[in-house]
Amino acid sequence: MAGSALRRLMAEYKQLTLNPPEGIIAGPINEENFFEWEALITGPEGTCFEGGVFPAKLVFPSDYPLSPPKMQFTCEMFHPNIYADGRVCISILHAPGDDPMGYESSAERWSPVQSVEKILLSVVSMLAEPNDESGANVDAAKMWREDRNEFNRIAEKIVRKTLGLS
Amino acid sequence: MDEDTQESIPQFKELDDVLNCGICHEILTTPVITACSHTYCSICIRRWLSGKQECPSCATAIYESTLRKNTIVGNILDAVKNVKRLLGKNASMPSIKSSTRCLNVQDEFGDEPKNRTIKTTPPATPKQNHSAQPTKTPMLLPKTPSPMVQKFPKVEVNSTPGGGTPTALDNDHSPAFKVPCPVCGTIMAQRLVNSHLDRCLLEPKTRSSETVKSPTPTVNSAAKTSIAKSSNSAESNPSLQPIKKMVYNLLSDKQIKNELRKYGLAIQGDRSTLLSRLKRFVILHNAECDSTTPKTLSEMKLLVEREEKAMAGSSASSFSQMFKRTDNPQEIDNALKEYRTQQKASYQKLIDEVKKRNKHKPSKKEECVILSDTEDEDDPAPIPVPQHEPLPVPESAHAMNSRQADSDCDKSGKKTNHGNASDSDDIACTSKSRKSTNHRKMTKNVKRKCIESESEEDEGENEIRQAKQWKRAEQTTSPVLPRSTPARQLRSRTAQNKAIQKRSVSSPQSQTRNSQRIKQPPSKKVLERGGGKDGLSSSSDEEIPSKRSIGVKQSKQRSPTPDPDIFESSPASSILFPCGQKARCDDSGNEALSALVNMIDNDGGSTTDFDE
Repeated sequence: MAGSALRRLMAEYKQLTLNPPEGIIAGPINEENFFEWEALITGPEGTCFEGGVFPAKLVFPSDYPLSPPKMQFTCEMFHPNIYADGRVCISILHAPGDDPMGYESSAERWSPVQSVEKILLSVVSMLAEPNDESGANVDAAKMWREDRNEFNRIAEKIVRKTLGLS
Repeated sequence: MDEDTQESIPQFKELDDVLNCGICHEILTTPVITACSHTYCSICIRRWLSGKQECPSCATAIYESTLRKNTIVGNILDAVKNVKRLLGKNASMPSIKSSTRCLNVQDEFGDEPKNRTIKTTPPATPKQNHSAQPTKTPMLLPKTPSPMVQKFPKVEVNSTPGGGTPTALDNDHSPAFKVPCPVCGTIMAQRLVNSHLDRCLLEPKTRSSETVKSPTPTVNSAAKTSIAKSSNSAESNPSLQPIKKMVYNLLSDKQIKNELRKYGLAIQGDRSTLLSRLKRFVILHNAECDSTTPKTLSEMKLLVEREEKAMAGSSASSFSQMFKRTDNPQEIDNALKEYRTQQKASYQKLIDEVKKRNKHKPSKKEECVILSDTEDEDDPAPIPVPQHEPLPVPESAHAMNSRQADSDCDKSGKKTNHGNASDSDDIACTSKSRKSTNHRKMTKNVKRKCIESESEEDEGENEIRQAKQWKRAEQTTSPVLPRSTPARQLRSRTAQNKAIQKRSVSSPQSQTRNSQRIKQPPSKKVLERGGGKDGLSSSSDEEIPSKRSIGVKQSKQRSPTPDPDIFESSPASSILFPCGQKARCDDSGNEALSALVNMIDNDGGSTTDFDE
């Protein structure tokens, strides 16, 4: 099955290279190991993360696509759905049955018809619209709810940081 | 070949997308349809269903037993393959392989990309091959090029009547997509049979086989194909029946081995290995049952072995290692410790600053107490808490813990009083000195009293009480922390009263709060409690309350934290001071303290999340 995982990852890599979605770049860190990818995500326009380029790491299991990959931002992030260590908490990355927050419907979780591209697009929309119902970062969720200006200020700081401006 | 055709004819891309399996993202192999009308490769969907009984696309509950072969999609796939092969090759001598045979060959090499053609038969006419694909049999071309071929400039249509007729028949062709010419008996691709027939009828003498009196110009190729298919599969694998579903968990080791032996599989390894091997084989076997040209048992066996090997050497281990959650309290403690040591300098700076400021005020030991005043709360701690309400809870928890731990270790069993009192000295110092300055200015006709010793005792009592209650509330081991930094204590102080009030509810959570902030996913509960520190947010709406009551009210309104009852804690705090003494602070005290807390915030006291 590792063979099929590899084939599928190669197919996805090809797909992403040939038809890259806007604002997303992804590919294996090392072509020797297709199970670890790096992705660059640009902050969606019109949001507080606009202009930022956020690097993330994706790690695929050997039974991919039966199991979802894991994703972790390698830069500093302040977002309700991103843990302090950068791990992304988003329903598309949760295998059905594994429901840490206990509210996700089965339809929006991982299934083998999802793909890296869909994950990354989901993350982009997550950046644009945080879900403060499931706080991976409680402080960020709270601030998002109660003090949007301060949240925006911090987000802007992070954006500048990812661009190496501060 | 796919690349070329896709580039020249973009429509093929569309076609490929439609014929892609959603799971493996490749052209479907042995398509099966689910009860919810989604089509996947047989092996892909079976693998998925061995874990979860739901459709990957629509999440409908489906079962392996309801999967049905999707014959028509299979035929479309074969037809598309043939067309592509024709277009991809220079049409002068297209080699049309049996698609099913091609599939079959590829399946044998499960680890190879499906689109790669494996050379299994030596090319019959290598000279005209432009691509790497082996030519199996020279076949006839259609006399009239199809519109597709005409559009495709590379294709050079070579209508060679008679000359191209194959003389040697390739016997290892599976007849699934080849049909014998009704006239001469030559086996060829079904799509070519019509044009061949025309020619064949014109030159009957050149044919060696018997002539047919009534040639059928319209060959029902589909029917023939299906007949050929069924006959073929029946021949090659007459006994391939799907393996019945087993309840793997109920099988004994012996039964598992028996099953494995039945199919000629290895019986080495522990139970889990055997089980996964059996499962893998059953999935593969049942998928092959859907195939028009199933593999033989030995081929399947080989595949299972290869899969197993690949799994063993895969990156499974690194996957789990890469993201580890630290459930280990020791690690979390270490992280906290590290943080504290990192921030120690800034804390120290703050403390020094405060001390320096206080040097100018002479009456450090003096504490003002208004006995009669009931209007205000009398926290022994600094005032700016209202602006930081939710923050101190976790802090206090830790401060408590550490203090408790300290006292436990230091005094070795003899719990508290002095240990705690001395530990809390710094706080007492700072807060008191602050208060004293306030009161010096303000209280002219109030009774002055030095309550230094008293208040310290009070605090000691507080500590004991709190420590006990904490112990009761939480029996878990209190992490040994470095001596809690004074600045932290300073802040945490204010929440202690509140913490006491809410202890039974909040203590376990707040105790784990810090660790959660660092590594662990917070529970929803914590979020709802609003236990997060909002130091960052509060630093923005920092203000100097010129009138204390107003300031409190404002901050109450401004910060709709879910813990508004910190303000109600004043009665409780008065209870905590058994003497009924009430400290009073004035504006300047507030000012200084808010500045202090502000400083702490800026110095990274609340930017835990970023730093880690």
